Amino acid sequence: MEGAFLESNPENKGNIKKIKESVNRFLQQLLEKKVVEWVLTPYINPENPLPERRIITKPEEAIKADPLTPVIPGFPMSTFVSEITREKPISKPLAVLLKPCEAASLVELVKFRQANLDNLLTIGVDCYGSYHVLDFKKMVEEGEKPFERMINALKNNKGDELFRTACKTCLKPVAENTDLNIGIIGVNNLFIQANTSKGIETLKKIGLKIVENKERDQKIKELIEERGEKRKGMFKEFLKELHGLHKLNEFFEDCINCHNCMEVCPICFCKECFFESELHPYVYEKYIKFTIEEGTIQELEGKLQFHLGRLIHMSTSCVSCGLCEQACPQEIKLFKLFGPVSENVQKSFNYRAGEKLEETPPITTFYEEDLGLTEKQAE
Amino acid sequence: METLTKRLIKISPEEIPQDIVDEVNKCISCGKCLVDCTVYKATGKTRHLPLKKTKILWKIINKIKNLSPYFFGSQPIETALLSRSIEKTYACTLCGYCSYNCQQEIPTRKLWETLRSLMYRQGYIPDTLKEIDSGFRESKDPYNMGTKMRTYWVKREKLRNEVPVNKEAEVLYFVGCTTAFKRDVRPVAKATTKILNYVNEDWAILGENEWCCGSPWLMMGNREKAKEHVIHNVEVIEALGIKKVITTCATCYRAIKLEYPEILGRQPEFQVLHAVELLNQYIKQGKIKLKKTEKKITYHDPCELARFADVINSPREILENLTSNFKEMKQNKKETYCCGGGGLLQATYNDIRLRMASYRVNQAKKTGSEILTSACPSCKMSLLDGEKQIKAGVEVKDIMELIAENLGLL
Repeated sequence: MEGAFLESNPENKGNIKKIKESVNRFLQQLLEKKVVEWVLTPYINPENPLPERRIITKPEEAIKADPLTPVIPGFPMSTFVSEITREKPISKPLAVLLKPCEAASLVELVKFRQANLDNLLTIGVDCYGSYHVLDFKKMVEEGEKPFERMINALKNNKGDELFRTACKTCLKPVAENTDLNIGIIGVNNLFIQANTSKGIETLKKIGLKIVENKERDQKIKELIEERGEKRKGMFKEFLKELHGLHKLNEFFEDCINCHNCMEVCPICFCKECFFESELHPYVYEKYIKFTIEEGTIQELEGKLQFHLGRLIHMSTSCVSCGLCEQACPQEIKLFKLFGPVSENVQKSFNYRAGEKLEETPPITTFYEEDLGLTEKQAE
Repeated sequence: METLTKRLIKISPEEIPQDIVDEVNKCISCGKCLVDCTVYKATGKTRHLPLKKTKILWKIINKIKNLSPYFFGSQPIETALLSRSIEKTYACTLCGYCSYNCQQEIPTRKLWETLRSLMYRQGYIPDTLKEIDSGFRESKDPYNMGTKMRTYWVKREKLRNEVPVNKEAEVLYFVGCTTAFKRDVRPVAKATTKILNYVNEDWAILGENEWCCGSPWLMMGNREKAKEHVIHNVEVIEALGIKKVITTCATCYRAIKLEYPEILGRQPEFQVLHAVELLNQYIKQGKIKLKKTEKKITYHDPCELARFADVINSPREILENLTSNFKEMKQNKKETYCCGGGGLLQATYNDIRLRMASYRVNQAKKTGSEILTSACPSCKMSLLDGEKQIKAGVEVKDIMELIAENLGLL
């Protein structure tokens, strides 16, 4: 892979503070050299323990950017990009900092024409793992530094128990399909990886020396292989846990049907969800009973219907970001269902969500023959 | 092209203050606000959830303040977004449970009121509210009765010589519209009158000079109009040299205590107390001696008292003096379940209000109590309606009535 090292001073090797500084300096240079007009990035607001997503227009604001922060606070970045570019493409260049799963979901959204990549400089950020947003908040409030903790876990190559399940089993620690990648995995110094000609041009504009880096490739491969083994075992167990209607019902017992998983899902972009539309009528009288049978909000089948329905709608494009699990106020481990099932579904279509921009999503172009069944099997 | 322009509305960025934008940006979609949402518990419809309202605000903010303005300048809003949001916005009692559960400590009620004022200014409010709105301008109360009717309860309850009207006094009883105009809760005013006279308090009411506290305006989304009421009320009260203003209504109490200083930009010259706080003082001073009975009583915390103003202990201390059989409901104190009487829900979506009220009455029934008491006329009316719905056999009474009865005054 091609790219450029940001820090050539060997004294700063692996210094955590320096990592953040050099990333911010890189963003600052992007703005100073007018490579981009705006940068959309996670941002530190001193009044808020959690990072926010903001647009930076001035080079001096770049010191407050925090793209490497190991948390996704609320909606994924791809939703923000979609919100900006859905109706019309932007006229001047904007740089967006995306975690690998966010980048993958952006690709899916582009396929569904919910986002537009024109004038967009996508910068992927290596993600070794991220924390649940509430765990992150707790850590910050207790004085622990989640970023340092993540970096230490990366250095020791041991992972972190507190990472979200989706991150523990993640096979996309490095973003695909982005113009640039901010590399922290498999390198000692911060490495900006260029994937496209646009990326290489950008690095040249800033005046960075482009070098070949094979070591990083190898290390990423090793990490993915190691995670893959782990993922296989975990997914097998998850599916075993949820086998059968009875177990599924048990799994969703605490669900209050708030649809918050759908609300944050990057793939669930429909203006009006089928399950909230008039086409899917809730039986009104059913709820009158509830005042008497206090506590039961809705019959179990209704919840299960929603989750399985959602699974059918979005599993072909699921990018395994695990945000549904993070958003569940009842702490249902949704990824246990959505992760393995969507992996298997995508396997059967020979498709990987967020991998190639040119591919068409199976849900729009699927024919029965694509399953490759013989006539007998199809019957 | 013409049809396209018709479907869009320009909203100026000043309509959403920056602090509200900051609060919306703080939201992390963790969903904790959804768990106990009182309206959602009663309806099971996802469109009534707090996060839906945040998302509407988020979408509007993105168009006019946050994201799009950087690239395309301030963008017009699709009218469809607003018209689709009417029920999402107004089917809410503003009970504040979402804010209590919020991990990021976002003052959600402020957000909902901002959203409502935005919708109000564009004319997207439920039809029933439009009626109230037009009547309100003339009559200075949400029931369209007129200021002359303010003292009608004095006549009806045969208290003509007992209620001092519009005179200089130590204590002012701010009666409130619901208590003054609604037959079901008129006894609350009567009980308060009797008790205040019983302890020989130097007190008065404003009579025709009293205007609505302004809460309905705030809930509807018209802060400017509310300001008129606030200025008038404060002016009249301060002119009489009042030291303490007491209310029997939780809504009036919250408005006067928390909203008035903010709207006026200064602290009014009088102190505000809820009647239960004053009575608790009387009891502690020995001015009132209650006889302890065996009645089984449970207490419903009005949201605006418990969650917003922290009046939790006073009513409980009074009830401990009233009975030896006081029992807490399943959801109590700061976690109280809204009776449905707030947020103008009675005018907009009464079916939801009734269901919420019945849910609460059922909780009271489960404690095995005979009497369900509260400290707010709106709560009393809701709970009475709820009791009529499910016929749980629980008597609904305001705490003032219970005290007056105990003293043998009613």
